[in-house]
Amino acid sequence: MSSSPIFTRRGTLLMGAGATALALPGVAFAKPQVGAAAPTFSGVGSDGKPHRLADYRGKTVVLEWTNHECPYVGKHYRSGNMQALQKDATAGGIIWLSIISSMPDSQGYVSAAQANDLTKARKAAPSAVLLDPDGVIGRAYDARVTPHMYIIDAKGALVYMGGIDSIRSTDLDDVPKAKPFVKDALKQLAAGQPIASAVTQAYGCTIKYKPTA
Amino acid sequence: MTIRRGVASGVLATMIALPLQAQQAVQAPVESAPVITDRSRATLLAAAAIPGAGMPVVLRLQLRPGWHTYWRNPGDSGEPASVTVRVSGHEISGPDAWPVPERIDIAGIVSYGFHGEVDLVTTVPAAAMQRSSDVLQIEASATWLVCDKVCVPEKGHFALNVPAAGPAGSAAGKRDATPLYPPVLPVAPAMFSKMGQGWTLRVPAASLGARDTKVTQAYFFPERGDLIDHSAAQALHVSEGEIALDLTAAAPLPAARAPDEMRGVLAITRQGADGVRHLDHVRLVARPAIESR
Repeated sequence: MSSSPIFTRRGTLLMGAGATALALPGVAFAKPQVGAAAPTFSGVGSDGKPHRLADYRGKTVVLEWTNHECPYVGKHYRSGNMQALQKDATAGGIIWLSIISSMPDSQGYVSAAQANDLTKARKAAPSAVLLDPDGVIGRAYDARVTPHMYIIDAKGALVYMGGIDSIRSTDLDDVPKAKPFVKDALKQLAAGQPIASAVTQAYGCTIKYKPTA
Repeated sequence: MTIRRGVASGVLATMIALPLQAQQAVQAPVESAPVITDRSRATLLAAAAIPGAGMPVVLRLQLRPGWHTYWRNPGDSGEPASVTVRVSGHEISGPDAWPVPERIDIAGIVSYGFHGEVDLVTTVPAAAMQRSSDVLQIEASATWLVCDKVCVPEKGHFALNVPAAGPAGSAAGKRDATPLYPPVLPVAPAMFSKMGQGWTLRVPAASLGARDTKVTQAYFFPERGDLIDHSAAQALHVSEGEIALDLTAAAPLPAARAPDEMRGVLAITRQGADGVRHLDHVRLVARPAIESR
């Protein structure tokens, strides 16, 4: 085993990086918190259009961090689970934004055209796919893995953050066995009920962020 | 930078101190055929079964440079390996013994895991080893995730025939008698108390030994994955009698879910008078501090 990364310079680099990220315009200072206003953002979609969170005030918004080459994302697309969630949500008037924060030349990074091809090939049904190669939206939400999921209510408050479901695995057979956190949260939100599990552990692949220092 | 690994030398001392009888009972482990990918080589190992004792069955992962796999608590991403060992009609889930992890920081997102070679132990209880012949058949299936720039789930199926050992002395059944287990870490008692959006973990200096050297860095790897924010910095405060580490909670914890214990591995870096850095590990069992009012 190599020497512990405690000895690497990364730790110090990281602190510098945090400060840089915080200084970016439009990025909230605090970490996102359930019950508080969701961090605002403005991103460019694979449709070539700008998408601002503020545009969707009055609607429920789901944010899905994705990387199509990540095996955890693969589990939810190959099983059809993610597409089913997207279709259910958008049919009910919910805005579903898939967000790609992989930096250029890293796993999951795609051009706008490739993103659109992926949506078609996988029969996915997001409202839009946001391209976030600089990781600005991802860092604002403190998104760490793919898939990492967030739900924002009609008033702009963050009401859910965490995993898509309860079983940390890449095994398709686990999808029906897992507690579907996002599906349950959307159901409870629509029924005006409190969300039973509003903060859960996300699992998946590390988001391939651009180093910030 | 020179780093001496205190644990490794400690283990050596333990091995030397074992009674001769126990050393003789340590036989070379049997290794299965490997499962090889472009990223890793995996085998299953077991030492001779010792009547009346549990038997360690090891999944040995040898990772190509750049690749890592995960600890029992994988941190902010990834997944620990999973092993199912089948012996004499019994099924045992593992691993149950893990080496000390590394902190793996990728652009600020921290996971816990291993590079290089790692042995993950699943212990077959003595009760599961009734057998009629003098050869024990062991089968195992395992899954593990390896990541570098990309993540790939891997899996393997392994089979082993382990000869039964001859009569062995009482010491032979002990954990220390087999080199297949990771080093047994000294246990340090500790306390934690609520502090802002997290906890302060306090460890008495006395339980960390080597008082002539200064603790310059420390990092706590919790066994539970839902307690702390793995990617947050852990600020270290060193005072005369103790070291304290500030831990950030993973998310605001409802009072009902407040932990009544924190277990994990504490990695400590010390700087000796000679300027040489030493990396040591202890196993922490921390309990809530009694609040003085």
